[in-house]
Amino acid sequence: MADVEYDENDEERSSASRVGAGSGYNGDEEEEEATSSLTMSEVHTCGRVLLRTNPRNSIAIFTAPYDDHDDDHSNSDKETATSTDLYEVQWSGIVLTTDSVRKLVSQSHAFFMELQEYAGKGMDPDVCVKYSRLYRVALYECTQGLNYECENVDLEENELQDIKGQLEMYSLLNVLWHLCEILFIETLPVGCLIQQLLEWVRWHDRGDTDDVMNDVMSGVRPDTHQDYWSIVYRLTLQGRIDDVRKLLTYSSYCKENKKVFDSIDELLRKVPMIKSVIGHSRTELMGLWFVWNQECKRRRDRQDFVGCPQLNLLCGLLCGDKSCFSRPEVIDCCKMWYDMLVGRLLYTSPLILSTDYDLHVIAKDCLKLYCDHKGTAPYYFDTFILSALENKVIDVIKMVSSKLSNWWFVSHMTNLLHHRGSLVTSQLEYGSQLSEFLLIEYATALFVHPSLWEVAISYLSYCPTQGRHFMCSLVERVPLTTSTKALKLIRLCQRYEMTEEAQSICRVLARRCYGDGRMGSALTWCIKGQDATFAAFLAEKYFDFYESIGEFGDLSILDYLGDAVLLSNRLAFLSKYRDFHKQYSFGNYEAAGQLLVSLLTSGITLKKYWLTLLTDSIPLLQIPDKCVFSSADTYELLHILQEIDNTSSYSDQKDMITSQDEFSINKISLLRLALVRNLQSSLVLRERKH
Amino acid sequence: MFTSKKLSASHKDLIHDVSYDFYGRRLATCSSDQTVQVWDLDSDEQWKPTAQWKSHSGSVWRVTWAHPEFGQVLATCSFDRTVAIWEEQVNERKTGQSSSETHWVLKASLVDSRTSVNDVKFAPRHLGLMLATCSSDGKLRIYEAPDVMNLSQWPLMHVLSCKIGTSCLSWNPSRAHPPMIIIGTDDPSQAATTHIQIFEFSGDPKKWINIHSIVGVVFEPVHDIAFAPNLGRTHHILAIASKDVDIIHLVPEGTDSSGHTKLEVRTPAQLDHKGSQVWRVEWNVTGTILATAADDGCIRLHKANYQGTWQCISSFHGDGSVSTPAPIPPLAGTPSATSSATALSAMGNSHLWRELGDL
Repeated sequence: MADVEYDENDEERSSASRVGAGSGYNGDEEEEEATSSLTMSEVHTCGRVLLRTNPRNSIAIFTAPYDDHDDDHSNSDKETATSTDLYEVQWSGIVLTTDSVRKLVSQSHAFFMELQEYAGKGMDPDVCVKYSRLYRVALYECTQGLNYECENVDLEENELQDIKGQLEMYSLLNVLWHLCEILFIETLPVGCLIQQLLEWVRWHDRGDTDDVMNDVMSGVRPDTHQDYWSIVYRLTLQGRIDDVRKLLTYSSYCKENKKVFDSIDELLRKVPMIKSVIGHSRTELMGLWFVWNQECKRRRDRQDFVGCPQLNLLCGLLCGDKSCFSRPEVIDCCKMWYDMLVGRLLYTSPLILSTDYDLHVIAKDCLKLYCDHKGTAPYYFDTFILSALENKVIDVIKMVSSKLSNWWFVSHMTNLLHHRGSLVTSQLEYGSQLSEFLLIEYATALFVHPSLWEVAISYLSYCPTQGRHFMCSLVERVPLTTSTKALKLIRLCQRYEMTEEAQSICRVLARRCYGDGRMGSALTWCIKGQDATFAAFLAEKYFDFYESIGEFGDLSILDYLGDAVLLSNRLAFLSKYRDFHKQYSFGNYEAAGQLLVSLLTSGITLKKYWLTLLTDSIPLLQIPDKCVFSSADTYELLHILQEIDNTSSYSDQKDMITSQDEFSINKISLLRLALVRNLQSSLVLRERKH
Repeated sequence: MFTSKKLSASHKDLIHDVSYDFYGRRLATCSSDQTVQVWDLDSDEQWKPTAQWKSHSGSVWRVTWAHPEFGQVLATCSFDRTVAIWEEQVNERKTGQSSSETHWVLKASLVDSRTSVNDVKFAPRHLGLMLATCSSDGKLRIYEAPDVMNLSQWPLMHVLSCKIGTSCLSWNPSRAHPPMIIIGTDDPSQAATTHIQIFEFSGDPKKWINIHSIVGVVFEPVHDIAFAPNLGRTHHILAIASKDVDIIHLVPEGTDSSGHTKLEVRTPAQLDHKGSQVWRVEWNVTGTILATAADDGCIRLHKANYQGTWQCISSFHGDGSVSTPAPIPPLAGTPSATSSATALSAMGNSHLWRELGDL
């Protein structure tokens, strides 16, 4: 991979045609694209094209004036082509517009998680095969679902095209996955590869062969059907010998020449299908096949079938005659070049191994023959298949990554190969690095989707080196649309010990609730996030609110603060103060009085609230025939009152007294009077007791 | 796969800057018409303008969002030499007649600069509510709101002279390193021998110090500069928009005698833009994609592969139409894949892949 040079010339040429025309920067370039150069020059007279990135895998593109730092009034005449349009371009690593693909994403996520569990305990190759099949089932269901979605009549034309494109892609990925499974994941005994490949070809034939066969057989005289011989060849290449024999019984030539029919039928009956190799050595199997092959050749050389050219060709295929495989009627009967490949392998080298160089040579030859015959060039997809057959697993991964807007295949396949150890055997020390790189790409692609952030995070949690950093930076970016979602996020943060991120989420929510005027919710988030500063701020706001209105806003939260009061002194004060009000309303005046005194003397009350609290004592002081505060308490209260009076700024500037100050002054003298009276009665009371 | 959306701003003049909020669900634009416009994504994923107001008495160069921990706060800088701090007033949202309209209130105006303020950026969240500005007179100013609940107090904490007109700045997002700011200059005069200066905050005594000037790497005026998000790396990655784009690695190499970080500057890549002036460099959230805007009117997306090799993976025209034929995102930077890709698309007639890959 790294040994292949990056073709700079190609890149230069393509980007020159892409940006060169009209931009003035490649003056000597031919203006190839008239339309493109027009839009480009328009953009240029407008100004500089700029951009900003969006966390949701998109960028905003806009046009700014050139003379950025000149006086804004001087250049106004230039801007005739003013455009204030913005373009937001989003990219995605997996298109999730259809339910079927979303189902694939969630199913494969479940399989992925299970697989990682197994991997932790040491990997058994059979487990890999099992999960490879499960992924394939999910892929198959996805294609079935897409097929079904295509039939929806309400679809717009472009939507239909989109789904059809997805269908085509996932069907082909299924073909590729199956092949990769056979070549890189299964552990096959010698001779079994061909059976697996036949299975592969038959499975992805999508029932097409059966349809044609049934069509041919349904006629009165099947051998006159135009596809008769074509389907015979096709079945032969697919190794479906029984069907071939059945079809041949309809041939009028065979009916007339019983001997010929018996001859070919015998050859067909005896095709050595190596299904079970247990107890046989490679040499034994080879011998078995060689005997049969020689018999075919002998009968063909004997010109047994020369009376019927089609039958002769069929025998040629059985003999493994290369020239027969390149006959146009044989190529035409194949839907895909790899149908041809597998057929050829079956009759020329049935014991081929996935690592044999021959496999690659024959595959290349088949692809070339097929393309030359059809007059087309190989599609991207053909090169994926070819690379897989060349045993270049890394190339397959790379090509699929660079050709498809889809990270699903490469991330899951590479992870599986990584566990299987196939990346190590290809002598790539960066196996795990590649696997992680692709998982991260897939996860970040999923993350953009509003409902898949959890799935994305769980994929990232299996990326040992970088995953955590990606998790941390992404988890904060999940839009906090509902509180349920936020709680889910916080639980997730706790699970992965992302404390800082969880706190940040709480702070954002606390701030937002406060902004919306929902103080109780704000305080709840604050406590959840253990944000002492903001809790103190909110506690003050609560008290301010009480001061201005005379009652508490949202009471419920204050009554259930519990341990949370430890977060901030202010909160503890608020909670105690609330207790005081409760005791007072229940008529427990002594308890209320004690709370008030302890609030004022313990130092947890801010000085600016002292006067308010003292004012609260007035009703307690005025209860007839009752002395709530002892003389010692009263002294304390008087002391505090004196302190307020001393530190008040208005005491020395009599001329600047505002109505607010006057109110305070009145309050203070009223309090002093009440306290002194209380002191008097408490002293009297004490005397009496003595 | 790319999808493109068009938004028509109601500015009366060209837009200078746009900025997404932390979640990418709000958007602010600013313009020569001296106004700022705010957009919100509605439940149908459509952008709706929710506020527009006159914010300065000159062109508004840049607009930027504070972290949502600090509320819904915007900062703008302008040709009128001021920086303004705006907060969304939610009470208005409740009582106002139209529920979709919001009201933004000027919380503070920072008037210390004597020349046009060219860039303004909030510090990364872990540093608290801080703001850095740079202006044409070559001053880097750092403000801090000591009480995050009081957005009207923004004492000027530090003023640093860069001696040359500054055009752009970027905060180092790393939590594991001391606070760091990098500034760039687009002063074309010969006097500007260095176009990039690095400042670091030292705790004792508490001040910012010019710890490094990058020389011998960038020889042209610098239009934009951006630290990549730090995902646990010990070194810092920078993208510099000048003539072409330079990727620079800053590797901390211990401290000198006065306790300041020593940096080793490495230049692992230069991203070719055919010698065009590049106006803007922006990283995605995870720092895996770098988007650039160049003088040829093209937006390019660059990506490093798992072995750190950089490659342009796609480009767009100014109207958002895609100009590269390759579908993305490819496994970028895998050279063999690219060369075979080009070879394949040269062969060309794949109806299937055109259908799938076309954007």
